Parts: sequence; structure tokens; C-alpha cells
Amino acid sequence: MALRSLLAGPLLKRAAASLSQQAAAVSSSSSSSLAGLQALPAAWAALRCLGTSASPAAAAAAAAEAAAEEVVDLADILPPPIPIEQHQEQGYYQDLVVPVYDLERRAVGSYTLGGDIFDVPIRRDILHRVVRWQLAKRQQGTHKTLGRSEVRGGGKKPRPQKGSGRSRQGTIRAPQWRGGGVVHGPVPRSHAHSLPKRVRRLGLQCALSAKTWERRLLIVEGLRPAEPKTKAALAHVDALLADAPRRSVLLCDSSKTGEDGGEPLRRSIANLPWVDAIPQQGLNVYSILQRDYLVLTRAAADLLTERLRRPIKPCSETP
Amino acid sequence: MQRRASLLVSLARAWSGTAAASGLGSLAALPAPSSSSAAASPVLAALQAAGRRWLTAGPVAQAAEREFITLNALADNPGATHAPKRVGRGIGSGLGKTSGRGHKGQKARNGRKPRLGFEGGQTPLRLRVPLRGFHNPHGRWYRPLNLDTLQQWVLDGRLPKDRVITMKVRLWIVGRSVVGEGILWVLDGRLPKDRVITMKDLRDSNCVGRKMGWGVRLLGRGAGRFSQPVHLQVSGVSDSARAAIEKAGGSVTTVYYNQLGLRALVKPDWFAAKGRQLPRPARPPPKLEGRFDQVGELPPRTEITAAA
Repeated sequence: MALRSLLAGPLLKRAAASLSQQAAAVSSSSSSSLAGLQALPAAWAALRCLGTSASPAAAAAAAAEAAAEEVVDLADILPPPIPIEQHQEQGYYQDLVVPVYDLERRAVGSYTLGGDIFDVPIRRDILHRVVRWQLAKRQQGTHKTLGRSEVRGGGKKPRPQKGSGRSRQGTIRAPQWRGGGVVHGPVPRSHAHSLPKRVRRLGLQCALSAKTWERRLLIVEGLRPAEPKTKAALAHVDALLADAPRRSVLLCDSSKTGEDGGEPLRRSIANLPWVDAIPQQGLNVYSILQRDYLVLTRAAADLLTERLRRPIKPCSETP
Repeated sequence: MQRRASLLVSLARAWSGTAAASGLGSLAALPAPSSSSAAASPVLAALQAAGRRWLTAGPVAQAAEREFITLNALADNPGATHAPKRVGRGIGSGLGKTSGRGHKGQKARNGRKPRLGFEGGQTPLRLRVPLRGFHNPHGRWYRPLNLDTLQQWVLDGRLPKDRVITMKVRLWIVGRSVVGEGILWVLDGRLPKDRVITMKDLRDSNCVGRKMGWGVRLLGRGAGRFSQPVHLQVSGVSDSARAAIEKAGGSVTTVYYNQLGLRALVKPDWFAAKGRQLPRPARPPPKLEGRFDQVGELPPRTEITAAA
């Protein structure tokens, strides 16, 4: 049980990641990477122990149990993260190393973007669905016309049924009358529709991956300006986006009261058009795609990664 | 005979939906590893296959020129949505005046429609035609199982399915990253040579369907190619099927179960859950005496006897 808990964390995740990856590599270039397969059994031993601790074992499982004692450093097996400059193929769930800047755009460190969030295949259809969902959800829906029963007046029969030589009419507010009611007109309603949480989350991953792939995602140490002045904030944004054709940017800090941004950031950019600030928890597809650039603080990126990796629902015991 | 391990891999659906996007969603009954890599872990083979599936589904190919994703460049997949039918909106729509409902009458109005088969008061067809045939309340129907199906199940290693789960690991794959937890089930589906295959095994492996009647009867389609030395306990067997199985080195015993006994054979857990004992085996009625080799036991005796 102790072993199980030891391995149940990120180690196991990463081990299996490398395995499936290597398997993919083997199948893609069937000639070359047999060597990769040779290295795998140790990892499998680590994985196996979980199974044998849970289920009654046959002879084969007993052998696996013996092998399970071996604990390997699974970080060795993982494909190493690559620098963002070498990122030539999108959507392979590759961990990426990006520089961390300060507000003068000096590189002060590096940060590893998880491939499962920042390098997922970019699916425009998912982004489209998420954006539609967001926009529909925020639509006020306060539209209304008056039907024939709601238009004022019209209670009296405008002319006798017979003898006038004209058509039969019962009310001057019928739809064919000028000033009459509207048939099937708009009524106040909610336009929101549902979208599965998994799709929403995938959309966010796609948006982040798109910004990463476009090299329009920046990681910074913090976003709090030197002094809470628009002038200072503008200087920082200019510095950060020095090589950008436009200054349209979304700044994302860890929270509205976070040390890496917070109130001073929001106050100082409030008068800057094309610059928005959003806490990590509020990061969304529409806001990301609205702006050309996305700037995440290191803390926000950490929180975001943690949040997007949390299972939506605890998995069930049986598949 | 080559022993092939069969895998039933059901990766829990990836929680972000990415797996579905990349074709990982439906992994079931992956092909077994070849005999040369028999030493390798079946889980490894499963993941290999998973990786292959994923790769063929493929992430996006790199565009020659990097196209930025912007709000005005979003679109759903072609064919993902339908335009709604707009009825009663003019002649040009084709659904104008009568909105596709024809002229006047009950079916043109709102509300309920006449019931299915109702012909407006006229004696409907199902009452006009005379009754034909009869229902035999004493008839006994046996589920047919042909030898070619049986052989396929044996070769695929799908028989029986109740073998021990040798591996149950928790992992959750999204493309090449494992980002959560899931369950990988690996079933050892190898054919047991040391025991008799009962109708429970046939049912559990889905070799026969849910509708079993009074049992399973082996029939001889595919008898010419049957080569598996299997020992079976079934309700009935045709002469050609019996000959083919015995020629291949196996044996067939016909056993009698009444319907309660058959249920106890196939679903003993149901009785256990109810806290009931398994019923005592029933003898065949006098009319069927001598038609079976033995009375089916509960639970079944599965060791291979010399007589079998």
C-alpha cells in the first residue's frame, strides 16, 4: 500500500506518459527505436505493482509482484522538455521550456509549460463551440415585442361583420393591421446552452496551446507595476511587447488580490485600451482570443496547470 | 497451439476529451501481441497499440505558415450542425402553406394522432387476416452455436473471460501525456486446458448471446476446419459437431439443466447476492430421458474426466 501511494502521484503519470509516447514512436518509425522498448520494463514493473496490490494474483501476477519491488526514477524515462524555439510540431503534448521575463523583458529564469495543457492539438471547432457557448451565456436576452393580446386597445369590433362591403375584422390589433401585434415575436429568455465541462476545459487548453504555438504567450515573474500609475504600466507593456506589431494583450495574474498583480495592476491599466487583466481563475477562451498576446505570471501558470489537471470527476473503480 | 493473450483494454475516457479528439476514445479488445514478443508485458502491448491508434488519428500537421487563431477564424466542423426546418414561411421554402402536413384532417391538426394501425374505424389489417400457426408451450429452444464461431472465440483468446485480472493500473492517457488516473484492465483470456468449458464460459465471453432458452446446442457449421482440442459441457450437440470436436482431440458432454438450473449456472452471483442457495440439479423429464449424457451439476464439475 505504501508503494502504491508512493507511485500514485506524478511519478506514475510521467512514467505512463513516456511509455505511451515511446510506443507511439515505435509504431511510427518501426525500424529505429527498439532501444526505447528495451528501457521500458523497469517502468512497467513499477506500474504493475499497483495492479497486484489490488487484485488476486495468478502466477503471472506473482512474478509481477516480485518485479514490483524495483523503484525507478521515472524522470529519467520521460522525454525531456524542449526549448520553445525547437517546438516544430504542434499537438504532440511536448513539455516546453520558455523564458521567464521581468517587466523590463529581461530573462530572469525559465519555466516549463506542461505539454498536456500548452501543446494539445489546436481544434478550431472546439474553440468555436466554447466561444459560442460563452457569448450565448452572456447574452442578456431582454428582447420583447407585443403580441395581439398585449398591444393596447383593439377590444371593439372595428366594423359590422356584414354589410360594409369590406372584409371581416374583429380587432384593430390583429397582426395584419398596421400597429397590430407581432406573431411569434421575441420574448425575454436565456440564450445559454450547456457545454460539457470536458469540452470547456479542452477549449481552454486549445486556446493556451494556440498562443504557445504562435509564440504569443509570455511568462513573467510578476505583473505588479513599479508604481500604480498608468504611465508605469504602459512602459511595462511596451517593454514586454517590444517586438509586437500591436499592443493588444491580456495580462493574467494569480488572483485579484495576488502579490503578482492584484489591485495596483488593475488600477494602472484601467485606462489602457487593448490591455486587460484577468485573474487565473477567470481565464477563458474568449478573453484569450480577443487579445493578441497573453501574459501569465509564474504563479498564475502554476495555479492554472494545477487546476486544469485536476480530474473533473473522480474516476470510477470500474471502467 | 500458440497461446495468445487477449487483452481487454478499456482506458477510461480521458477527462479532457482530448483523447476522443485524437482517437483514443474507443479502445477495446486490442489485438494480442505476436508470439515473438510473448515475454513482453501485455500492458505494454496494449499501450503500443494505443499509441499507434493515437498516432494514426494524429495531431494537426504542421502548417507551412503559422496561422494565428483569432476570433474571426473559428468555425465548427463541416456538417456539425443542421439548419432548422422553417415551416410555414412561404412557397419558396417548400414547406409553406400547409407546412408539410397535407390538407385538413386529424393529421393536419395539433394534438394527438390516431394510434398506430388504426384505420379510421375500418377493421385493421392485423384483425382482418386469419390467425396462422400455433404456439407450442412445451417447445424447448436451444441456443445454436456453430463450430466456426467457437473456433474463432478460441483463437481470439476470448474464451473464457472470467480469468484473473492480472493487471489493473491507474493511468489516464491524453495523447502522449498521462494527466490523470484511469483504469487499465487486462484480462488473461487464455483457454484453460485443464478444465471443461461450460455454458457459463460461453455466455460470459459473449460467445452466445443473452437469449439462451434451454441451453446451448452445438451445430456443425465450420466442422471441416475445426482444429481446437476443447472440452465442452453443453445442452446438445449435432452429430457432425461432435465428430469434428472429437476428431480434433476434444470432447463434448451433453448436460441437462432446467431453466432455473441454467440460470444458476450462468449467474451464480445472483443467487449469492440474494442469499439463496443454488438449486439442486433437476433430472430431465421422462420424455427426454436418455437424451443427455448426464444431469448438469450446480456448480458444474469442470475437471476433465477420462470418460469425457
